[in-house]
Amino acid sequence: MHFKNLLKVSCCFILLCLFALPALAQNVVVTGKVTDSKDGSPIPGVSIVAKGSTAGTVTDVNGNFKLSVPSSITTLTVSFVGYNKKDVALTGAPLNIALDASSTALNEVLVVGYGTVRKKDATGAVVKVSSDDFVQGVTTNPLQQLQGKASGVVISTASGDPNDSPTVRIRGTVSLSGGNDPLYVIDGVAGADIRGVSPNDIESFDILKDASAAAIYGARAAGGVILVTTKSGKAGKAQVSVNSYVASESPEKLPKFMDRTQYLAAFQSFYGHAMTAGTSTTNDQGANTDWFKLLTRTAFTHNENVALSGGTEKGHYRASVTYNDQNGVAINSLRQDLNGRFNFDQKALDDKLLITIDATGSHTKQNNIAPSVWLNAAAVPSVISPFDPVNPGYYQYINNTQENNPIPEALYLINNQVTDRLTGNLRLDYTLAKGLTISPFANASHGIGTSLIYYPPANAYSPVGNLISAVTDQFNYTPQLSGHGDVDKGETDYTNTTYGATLDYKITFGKSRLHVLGGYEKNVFAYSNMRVGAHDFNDINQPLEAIGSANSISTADIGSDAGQYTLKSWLGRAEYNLSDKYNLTANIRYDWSNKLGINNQSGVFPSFGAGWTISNEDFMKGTNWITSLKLRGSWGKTGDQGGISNYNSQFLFGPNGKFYYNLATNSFLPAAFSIQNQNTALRWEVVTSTDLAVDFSLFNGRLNGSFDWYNKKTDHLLYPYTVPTGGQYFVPTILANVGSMSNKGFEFSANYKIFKTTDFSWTAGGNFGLNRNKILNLSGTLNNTTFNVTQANVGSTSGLGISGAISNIAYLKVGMPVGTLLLPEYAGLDANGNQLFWKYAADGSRTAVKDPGTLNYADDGSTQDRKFYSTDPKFTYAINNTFTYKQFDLNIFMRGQYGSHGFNEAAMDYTSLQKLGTYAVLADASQYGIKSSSQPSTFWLQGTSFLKLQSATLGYNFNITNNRYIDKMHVYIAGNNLYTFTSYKGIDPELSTNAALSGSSYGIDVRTIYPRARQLSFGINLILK
Amino acid sequence: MKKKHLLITAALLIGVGVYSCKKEINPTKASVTKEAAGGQTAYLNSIVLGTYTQLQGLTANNAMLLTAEETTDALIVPGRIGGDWADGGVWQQLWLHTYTPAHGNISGAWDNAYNTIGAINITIDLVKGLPQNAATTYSVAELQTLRDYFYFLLLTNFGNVPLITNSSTDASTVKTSSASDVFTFLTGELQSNALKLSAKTPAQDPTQYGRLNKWGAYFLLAKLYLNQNVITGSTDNSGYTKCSQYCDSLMNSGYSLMPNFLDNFSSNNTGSTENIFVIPYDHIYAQGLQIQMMSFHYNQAAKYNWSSTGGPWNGFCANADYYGKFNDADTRKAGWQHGIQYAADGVTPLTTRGSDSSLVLNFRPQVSNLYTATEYDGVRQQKWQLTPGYQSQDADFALFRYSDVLLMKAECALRLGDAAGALTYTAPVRTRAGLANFTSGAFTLDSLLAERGREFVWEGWRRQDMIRFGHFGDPRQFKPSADAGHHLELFPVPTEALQKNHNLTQNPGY
Repeated sequence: MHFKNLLKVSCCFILLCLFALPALAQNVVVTGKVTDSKDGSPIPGVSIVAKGSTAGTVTDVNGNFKLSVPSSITTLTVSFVGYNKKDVALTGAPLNIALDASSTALNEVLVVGYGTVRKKDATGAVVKVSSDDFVQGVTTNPLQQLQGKASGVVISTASGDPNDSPTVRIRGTVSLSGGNDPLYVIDGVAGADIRGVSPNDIESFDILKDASAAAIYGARAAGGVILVTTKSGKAGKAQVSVNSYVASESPEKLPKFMDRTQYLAAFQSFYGHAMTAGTSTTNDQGANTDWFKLLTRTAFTHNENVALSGGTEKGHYRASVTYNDQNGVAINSLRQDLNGRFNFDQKALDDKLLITIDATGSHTKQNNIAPSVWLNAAAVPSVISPFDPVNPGYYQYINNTQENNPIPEALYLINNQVTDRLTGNLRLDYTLAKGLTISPFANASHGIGTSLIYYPPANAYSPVGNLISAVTDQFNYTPQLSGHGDVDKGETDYTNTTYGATLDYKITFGKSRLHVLGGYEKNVFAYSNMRVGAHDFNDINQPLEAIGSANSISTADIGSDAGQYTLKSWLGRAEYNLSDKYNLTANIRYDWSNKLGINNQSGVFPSFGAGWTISNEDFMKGTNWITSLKLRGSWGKTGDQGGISNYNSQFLFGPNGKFYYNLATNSFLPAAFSIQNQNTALRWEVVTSTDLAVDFSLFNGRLNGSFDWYNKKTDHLLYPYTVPTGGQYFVPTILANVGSMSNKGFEFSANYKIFKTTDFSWTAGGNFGLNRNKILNLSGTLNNTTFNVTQANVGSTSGLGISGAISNIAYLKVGMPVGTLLLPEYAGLDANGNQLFWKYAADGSRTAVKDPGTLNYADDGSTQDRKFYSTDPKFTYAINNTFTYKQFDLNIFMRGQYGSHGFNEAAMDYTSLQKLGTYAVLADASQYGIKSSSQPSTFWLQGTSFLKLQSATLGYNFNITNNRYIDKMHVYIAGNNLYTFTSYKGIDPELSTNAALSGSSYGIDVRTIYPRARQLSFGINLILK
Repeated sequence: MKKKHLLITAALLIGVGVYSCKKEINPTKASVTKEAAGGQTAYLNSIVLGTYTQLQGLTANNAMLLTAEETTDALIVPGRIGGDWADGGVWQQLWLHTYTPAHGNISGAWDNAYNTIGAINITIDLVKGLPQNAATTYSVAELQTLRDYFYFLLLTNFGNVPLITNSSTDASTVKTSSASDVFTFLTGELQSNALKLSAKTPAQDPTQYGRLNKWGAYFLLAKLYLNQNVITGSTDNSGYTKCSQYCDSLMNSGYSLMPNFLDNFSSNNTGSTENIFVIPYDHIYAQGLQIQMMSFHYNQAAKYNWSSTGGPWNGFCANADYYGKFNDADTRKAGWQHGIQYAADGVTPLTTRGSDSSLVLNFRPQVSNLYTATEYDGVRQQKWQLTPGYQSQDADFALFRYSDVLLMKAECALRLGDAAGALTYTAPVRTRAGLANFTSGAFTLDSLLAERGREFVWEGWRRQDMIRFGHFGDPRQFKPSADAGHHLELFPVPTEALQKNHNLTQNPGY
């Protein structure tokens, strides 16, 4: 549903009613055309009033108008929502009137969920990012268009994999259990998959950042809400737009390991003898392999979009098809999307009924690259060849402990995924009486994902592996198997259905306007999946999809699962405006869900907001430099259900992946086991937030911006507590709502039109976001069991010879933000090149020690040998500059963060000279002279502040006046990820902010990252007649 | 008109909403609720026997059996040059007896035992909820015996532990029971349940394979009484007498020594008449036995086609002192890998890696340094037969073996003053190993401890044996002085367990 356009259309009709009737004296007939000053497109529905009379009309779909005015009239007043009002003198000739879009952003209409609100009436923190402001260039995920564009919305990409999705955090991390992603609402369909919509089809994003705005979405809104409005047709003749780009992608930066010369020299200098030459994979094979070079490429990406749109006053349509083909910089990686969208709306029943129908479908194919490829590429030294030195024509069978040959792994290990998504959405708006509309709606989303994974037999690429059939051990047993290929095929499908209705009532009395909305909605979320695996595909040519022909299929490799839950909700909103000065908003949502504990299945999420438009007060009348000034404040509650799976509250038995043996039948039989404790009190996490803000527009709208201060507190924070087993608890963890966490912050955004002349304009914008996250408490009580947690290990670094306590560095710590690391304190190198660490005595004195066994790795607070370090940035920021000169446009967009830290895992693993002869070593390792084994410590904790030149676009608008086919043509070249300014020594300072409760890599620069790509693209936007 | 519409619509919506928001359990599709599980006898059977699958984790490098073994002279895990197994010193702490309540292996062992005990307790409740008959009575007795085995592990490793025998017990407040009380409870429950359980060996009744029956209960009783003085602090001989009696019963139960020692560890060892109670393993269905991955050298991956699953990790080994206990004639010595290791063709020597990449891989018993040992230091254990291509092995892991019955019987006889009688029980074990029996003059408790060391390498008995024979705290390589006192003979109660239940009492000395 396209609310913004609906509003425009409504205005158009209202104006028609008001002005089309009274044309009295007919002395002069004035004709003319109204266009947008920016792109010259005609504006339909513009109000044309003869100044000093009641005569008036509106423009038709082509922007033309014809009006009879008394001869005394010399001036027309031309006005339209979203444009500056303009007085135009009559000249006698047909008028060409160009309207400027309103300079004050406060005239924007914001989409707020189940409706819209004028920005000037908004009391909550809502940011709109329209297609004009999107990040340009290669965008295969809609979120890339939004990256850095809204203060407080941190979108981070931790890899260059076209199949990866960025992490989105709105005003910080509110949950520890994974419920941090915002709720996506695409044209009114809540919970939609953002990857199911093509970036080309998006008109705008509206981001609900605070509870006042988001509370209408209740239990799903704690991570914020991103409302996506897709493009829709406009009244007028059919328009065909064609958008296309081609891009070349290359790795932005690759790790630098020692090449052959450096490696052999370092080996000689470290061991005092040359590395033995030979054909073994631990010898010097005479190679000079740059593994990362071999695994990466300059990739070609192209994207085509064709859209047909148009409509009449009564109905609009738009149909759009997009094809995207992105190869990715890693060999054999691929993403292809075919996406179709159809938006349609039609008025009926004397315009009392508006029917809106949207349908989308998408088909995505992915070839994924196993993360271990990057691990292997890093680990194998340059002196080892990818090819078999003994048997030419074969890949080498590298059989060392930690590493395999990454080249065949990337080429032949298959990890493909195909995803199909369908969404249908129907909405009816029926006007029952003046101001009263009932709107039933229903939508359904269905998705099917199929994955196929194939691990080739270990001996598939090398004749050496075939020797395995000759294995005999000391028992002289005949080997049972001589190698195996594994196939794994899985299918997942989901169906989400929603139906409901809202009742909307608007009334004006005196100086007051009141807008009330109420509704009911029911959602059912269902999924099912299936998986079958097979072993011993010994022949690499065996057809993989014929799983039944594998030599070994076991019941252990067959699995299926299904589940669903229901969410039922009541919602309401009231907005009150007095004299355009005072706004009050209240939202309420009552949610009920059967996935919660039986004693806590429902919750109420209220919010209140107030706004005071100071600039409309009488005492401000004389202050001309202030165009608009508004104070607003809000308070509200939202819920988070992301961390709760469908049956989390129940005591369950289930298959445990294990079997018991029955000698009688000589078979393994499935075992069932208690798999989950019961928590009848399991409930939503609740985020209470307060927001205080100033919106301003100064100097006749040239400078717009806002300040926001917020304070959010998550209560009933979910955490999987370990519980003592044996008695009432059957498995060692229970998910309980006990803790609390806070996010406090400050945001600033501004946009300044520095210059604007006929030929040249310069607009600068920027935003700044500061968020302080803090875990307040993780202790509490559930059913008489006391949880006393002050810190918890949630993730680890991995490395050669690093496991157990020393690897467990990612922590949650009460009083610290998420993304905290626990590390020994580095104390320098001793004379022999051993890294030293501070060991603390009970009296606080410290000594530098080298033995790993000497440090106390207990994390119970009993030792100071390790300390906590936050990796969170102090602030994030973005700077945008747009220049236009005649027909040229140039946009330069930079974004950055400051004060963050990251643990450089690759440097820890590949800097010690002890690794020479076994593993690859980084090119700069010799300068550190570290000879002891790898040890996590503060030495590897490095600053990750950065400023990225995220995109730069240079475009040209062709001056096309009388072409028969082309209405408008714009070409551009764009660069993405052009340069990163940073002092960080790793590959890229933008690290994962995934703070999952297990496997957290927040703040750790893991070794398995797909290299990021620098993209150069050339694109064209055409509008055909 | 307007108001009428509004009212009707509002009333309808409210009606639908209020009706639909009752309390409602979300019906499961792929798992079974407790209520449903209790009502289905067939499904319940998979829960009852499914509790045995908890045993599959027992042989992990950081689980109860091997963690106990890692504190003894039989298993050393040196850090290797290059950093493998340095791990902040956790493995070396076990060798040096400097372990603390924060040690991850110790808390893992504790948790695994109580997770299983909890599962057994709820399963017993579910069985008791069914209409009672002979089958339900049998199931309860069997489940309790399996629970007794886990308490036996807790008792012999931790001593004083909370005794939870009911799923309604609040595990977060239950108090520690003394080792003596746990001992009394276990012996009582085992004695009463043994009589309810099957007296058939798997050879006589295949359904008994991998399960505890009367003979499993008797074996546990023999072990408990053998260690009675250590556990309860008693000083008399009553434990040995009782142990001896249970051994007598076991010697008349149908079990016997296999002619070939290694047959008890083969990939297809289900027919072993010596294995009384095993963990059935399978490389696909019942994974978990992968001791060779801890022990073998990286480059041995090629020989056994492990590279696709990641090669072995070059950790666990035995030092010269321990390896020196094996006579060359001892057939059990074949369980160790010593000397030059070859590729799959049996001819091409494997090489080491790193700085010594030119060297032939030649395992030696010497362990040169506890933190920076060479790649080839220490001999490796391989008595469990390997399944090439898979990390997880097919051999079933014997927890109770008949040869242990014979050696327990011998020990009791010796301790009760019948050295000559004792020799008759050691004879078959020595003979099977290709060795002459001990001679009466040279036969001491120490020679029996050494014999047990050779017979049960890495089977999880060494810690208990060394404590019982009084040698657990002895000085050893890298540990020049004897342990101060005996407190290290009990593991500390893990820090995490103390945090979860403030009523637990830490063992003395920690």
